[in-house]
Formats: sequence, C-alpha cells, structure tokens
Amino acid sequence: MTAPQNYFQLFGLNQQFDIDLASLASAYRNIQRTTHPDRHAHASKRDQLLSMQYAANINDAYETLTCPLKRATYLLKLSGIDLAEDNSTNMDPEFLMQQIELREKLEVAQHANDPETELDKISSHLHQQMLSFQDEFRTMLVDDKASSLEKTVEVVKKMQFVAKMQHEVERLEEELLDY
Amino acid sequence: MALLQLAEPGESPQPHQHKFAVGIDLGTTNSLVATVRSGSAEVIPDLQQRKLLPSVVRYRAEGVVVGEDAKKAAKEDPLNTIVSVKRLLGRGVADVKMFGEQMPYRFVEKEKGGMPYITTVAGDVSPVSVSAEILKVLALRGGEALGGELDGAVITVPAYFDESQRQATKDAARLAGLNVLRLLNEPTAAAVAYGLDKQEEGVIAVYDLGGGTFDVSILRLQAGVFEVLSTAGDTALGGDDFDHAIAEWLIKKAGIEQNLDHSESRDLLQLACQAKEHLSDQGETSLAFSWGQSECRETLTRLEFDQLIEPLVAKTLKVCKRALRDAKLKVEQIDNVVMVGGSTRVPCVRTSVAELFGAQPMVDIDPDEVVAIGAALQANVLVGNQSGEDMLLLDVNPLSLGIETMGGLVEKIIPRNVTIPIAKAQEFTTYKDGQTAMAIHVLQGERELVVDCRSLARFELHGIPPMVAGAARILVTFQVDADGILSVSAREQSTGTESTIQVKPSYGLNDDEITHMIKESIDYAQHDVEQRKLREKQVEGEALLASVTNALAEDGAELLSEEEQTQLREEVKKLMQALMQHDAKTIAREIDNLGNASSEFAARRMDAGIKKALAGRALDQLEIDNDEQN
Repeated sequence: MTAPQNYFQLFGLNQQFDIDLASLASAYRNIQRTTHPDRHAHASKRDQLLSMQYAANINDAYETLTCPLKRATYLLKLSGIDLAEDNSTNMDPEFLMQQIELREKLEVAQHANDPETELDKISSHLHQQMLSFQDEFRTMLVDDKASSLEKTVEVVKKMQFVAKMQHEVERLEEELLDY
Repeated sequence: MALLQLAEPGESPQPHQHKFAVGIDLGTTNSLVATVRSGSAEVIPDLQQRKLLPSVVRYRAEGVVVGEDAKKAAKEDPLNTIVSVKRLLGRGVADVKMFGEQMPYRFVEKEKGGMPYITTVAGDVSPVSVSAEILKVLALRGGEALGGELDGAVITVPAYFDESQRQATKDAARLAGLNVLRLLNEPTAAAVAYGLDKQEEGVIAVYDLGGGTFDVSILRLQAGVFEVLSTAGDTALGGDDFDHAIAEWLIKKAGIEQNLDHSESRDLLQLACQAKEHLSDQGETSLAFSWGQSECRETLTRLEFDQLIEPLVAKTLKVCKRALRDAKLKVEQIDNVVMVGGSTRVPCVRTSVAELFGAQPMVDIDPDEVVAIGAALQANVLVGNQSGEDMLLLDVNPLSLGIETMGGLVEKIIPRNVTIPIAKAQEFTTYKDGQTAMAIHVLQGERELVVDCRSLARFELHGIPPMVAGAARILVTFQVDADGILSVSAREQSTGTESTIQVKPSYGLNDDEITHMIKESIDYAQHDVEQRKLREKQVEGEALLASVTNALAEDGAELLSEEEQTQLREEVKKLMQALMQHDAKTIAREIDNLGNASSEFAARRMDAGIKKALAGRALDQLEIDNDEQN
C-alpha cells in the first residue's frame, strides 16, 4: 500500500496536538467516499480487497487522531518513542500515590449506598485530570527542548493511567446497570 | 487542480448497462424481496400480490414447499415444517436446547459441538439449507419480476448477529446461488430507507423488534452519510416470545396439565399469535383451544396482555439505554425514533418506546417493508446502477472480538462499536522457554472470562524459533470486513512464520460441504457443474476486464508510463482472448495475471482518489471562506 503513512498528512492536517476535529471529520468522510468497499462492490475481487485494506487503515487513522490520548501517543511515536515498547516504570511517586488512593475510592464506591453518584464523582475527577494532562502535553510540545522529551513521555503515561481507570469506572457502571 | 479528463474516441467507458439487483430481508417470521425500479424502491409481490413470504419451509418426500402453503401445514405436519429457522442459524446444539419446548423438532448432532440438523421425511436438514430454500424462492421472485438472472443481492441481518450467524447467512445465500453484494444490518437498512426516501436528517434511533430478534441502532444521518454511532440488541428476543407468553398464560388459565403433542403445541402458538395480532386494534380477544379430549375458551384483555409482555418490553428498553450510553448520547439528543419489524405494531411497545425517547415513533414506511426497501436501495448502488457518490454508509462491529490469554481471560483486540472495515494487531509472547507453537483461541463477547464469551475458532501457529520465555514476538491481526466478517492471522516477527484463517464458525458448514451441497441440490443437477464454474469465471473475468479498461481510460495516461500502459493493455488482450475460449482454467489463469499486473495501478488510483478527495475539500473550504468574506 502506498497511501501516506503519516495520519496527519493523510487527512491534510498539520502535525500537532491541537487539530480541528470538524475538518478532520469532513476530510475523513470525503476520503471514505472514494475508498470505502461500498464504492468498489461491483469491481474485481482484488480491487474489493484493496479497498477494504485502505478503508480499514483510514478508519484506524481517524480513530487515532480523534482520541486525544491516542493522538498524543501517536505524536510520540512519530518522534521515535514507542510507548508500547517502553517498559520503564519510573513514574512521579506523588502521581502513583494519587492513583492508588483513587483505586481505593473506587473500591469503596462500589459498596456505597448510592454507588452511581460516587462513581460519577470519580469519573468527573478523572475527566479533569485528563484535561489538565492534555494541557501539559500541549505546552511541552511547543517548548520542544530535548530535556522536556522525557517529561512529555511521562505525561502521556499518566494519561494512559487515567484512561485505564476511566475504563474501569465504565465497566463498574455497566455492571451496576446490569448491561 | 486536476484537469478535466477526456477519453480517447473509442475508449470511452462502456455504455451503462442496467444490472439486476435486489434487497432481501430474511426474517424470522416473514421474508421479503425488494428492488429499485424507475428510480423508486418497492417490494416485489408474488403472483397473488402477497408481499410477505412466511419464512416457513415444509419438507415432503416429493419436494420442498415454502411460504403460505407450508405455514398452513404447520399444524398437521409439525415435524417436517420448519418455522422460525432464523433462530437456529449459526447456533449450536446447546443454544438450541435453551429454546426448550419452543422448537418442537427432532434435532440430531452430526458432529460433536457442531450445528444441529433437523430430521425430516426428506432427510436431515441444516438451518443453513432451510434458510437457503427461503432465499431461493425470493431470488426466483426477484429474477422473474426483473426479467433475468440476478446480478447480486444485499441480504439483511440483525445488527447484533454474531460472527457465526453472519457466516451462516452468507453460506445460505451461496447455497441458494446468490451473489451477495453485502450483508447489511437491518436497522441500518431501515435508516437508509428513511434517509434516502424520506430525506430524514439528524440523530435517529432505530428500534427493530422482529419475530425472533431485537436490535437498536443509533445513527447520525447527514448529507448522504449514514454513520452508526452504536448498536445493541438481543438475538433471542422477539414477537415469538410474545406468542409464548400468551401460550403459557392459556396453559395456566385453562389448567392444561398434560404435555401437548407437537401438533397441539404448534396450534396453540398459532392461536396465541392471532390473539396478539387482534389485540393490536382491539381491547380484548377470545381464544378457543382444544387438546386431547378437552377444550377451553378464554378471554384475554389488552391490559392483561400488556402485563404478560411487560418484562420483555422492559428488556428492550434496557438495551436502548445501553446503546445510548455507548453512543455517548442523552435521550434528549435523539431527534427521531424509527419503528421497524412487525412486532412494533403491538401498542404497548409503541407507547413504551415513545415514553423512553419522549418522541412519537415514526412509522411512515411500513415496519414490515422498510428493511427490504433500504436493502434494495443499497443493492442498486453497490451493483453499480447508481453512482452512490453521495452515499456513505459507516457501520460498526456489534460485539468485541479478542483472544484467550493466560488464566482464561479474554484480551480484546477489536472493541464493540468501532467503524468497519477495521484491522487491529496486537503482540503476544511465549510463556515457556523453547516454546515453538502457540494456540490461538478467538472469542466474541463483552465479558472478561473466556467461559462467558462465544468461542469462534481455534488455530495454532507453529514454527516459532525456540527462545527464552517472553522473547518471541507474535503479532496477531484481526480484520473485520464490511460484511462484519472476521479473519485472523498470526505472524512470528523474527522469522515471519505465518498462519491465517478465515474464521469459520463451529456451527456452520465448511467450504467442501457447501460445494458438495450445491452439487447435490436438485436445481443444479440439471445444469452441468462445469458449466456453472465456467460461467462464474466468465462473470469474474468480465468484471475485471471492465474495471481495468475503464480505469485505463480514466487514469491510465495520468498515472502510468507509456510502457506500463502497453504492458497492461497486453494483459487485457490476453484475458479478452481467454474469455472467448470458454475454458474455466485458462480464464482463471488470465484473471490472476491481469490482477497481478494491475494491482500497482489500482493502488495508485486509490491514492490519487484520496488526494482528489482532499483537494475537493480544500476547494470547498476556500469557497466557504470566500462566502464569509462577501
């Protein structure tokens, strides 16, 4: 496949954390209008397969850029840091303590009288945390000294922690609602 | 900016040829076929002007009867008359047992853990072949109405159908000799019907309660884009369950203690179904039933009926809430609710849905017909009769897909509600020193434990070089195509050892079985099998030829060097010659050759298309900016 491998280029966007989601969405739709398998359903089998691969790649690219955490991870990857390969665990101890406390709160919330309200509280706290880490990441990218790279990685890792916790809250909520 | 392209004289794309395409709604209770004629989609009736074909198949020693006549025989010949076969499609014997007495057939398990066959006077039949009988009748109806053999069909499936059920549906279509253009989710089909025929826009919820399945999908409709935001459902909940609730009520009320025989059970269910239908526009109805030496007459009021089905309706509302949650939307953000499926005629269903969404549900298009109409509209685009340039359908994967990891846990690789087609890869490693093989167990479902999810397939990757535990890197890739069908591949990164499977459900047929069944079926005994194979290759060859020549005329000069063009034309000529020779093998070889020769060109065209799409957008943006300045 010879499509531009850089997702930002693919959608005609500048390679940066702040992107215009509306133009991303419209670029995505315009591209899918030409690549989607529905547009090639009457073509040869080979063309159908090719279109499926393109469309799958474009869906993945769109998802990556739409989600702030995935976008941040992707930006790091473009600058040569693959978080999936990074197994170092030296994290800010204060942050780790906070996370442990949150986890304990989560445990307590499940058995509270009104678990939904408690989970809501934790959920909005996590949301705030996520937003502030995003701000931090944004400023660090602008200030692109080599020394700040390590810090940038740490912020994204913190975002990953928060995302994992958010996922856990969602799972508990679904359990409560018996879905 | 791209220049306008002019084709050379004599090289212009072939004159447009109208193709025969239909949309088929293969339902639990009834099935329909629809097509687009002179610009509008309509359901094709049979010779007696009946639009609905009851999804009932009766096996007799002297042949198969499908539809109304089979339905009438259900009482007198219950064991050979298969109703609601869709509930069995893609399911295993254990699933079937879950239905208990609801399915009064004699099941046999041909292989351990395989799909259930039903014993009839015409031999053991699989749910796939029963479904194929229904599809054959609809295909014939479509072909006769259009005046020729069908070029392709879109077949609808419940959005919440799992992998096995989708595969089984596709297999049934193949068995019926249909070229499947796409498996389309039923709620999405309904949205297409409302979007294209009624120009509906905004965020809509499609509440689809059929005979045996329930789906809800939430979509954003905007300027020809149909974007599914989430889907949820229950593939074992439908109007059939309302009938069973009434039947159980009558058994209790009339004090029926002895076991009913197959014929009496069938009779009771038909009676219950009639009562349900009466209660759609009447306040009460009476049921007269006789069994053994006894008989009874009871009155059922609508209020009582509402109470009977309340738990079932509540279940559907819960599923709606889950879909809203997955779409990250509040109920107030839903602009309209569309009703689909015969079971939405039940007044209590309509009022409950209206109450939940705070809006009067839409029934502008007949709830029985809307799915087939949407499927016909899409089939018309997919087969190439309509450019479809403005229409874009973005559907999702309904259930999470993953693999088994240590400790009986499921690691999700593709989550639910992501836009398809999609491919995702994840790396795994060995857990023992010197491990040279790895078992891969593919699962579907939302739960964390393997035992709570549906097992789709198991396969093994061999030839991993012996390394210490944790050193090997095995990349497992899941790919879901636009029909929602999964294929899985595994690759050891250092040696490139690869293993790929198209996931074939445990409860389906394998390719050999299908080919065998096609050969065996009476319809094809008259045709020569070889002849059919040749025809298939000819159709495939002609499609490739048309697509490459059109592509050459459109973009050849722009994207290929003189030399590349000459080479490609050479291959085109060879395939043309092969097509005239009436030999399947020669044609197959030339199809491969031209396919290989043109693949680079196809990729360049795709890239050029993407560039053009972006350039078009930039132009739109420019115009908007200008407008703002003016």
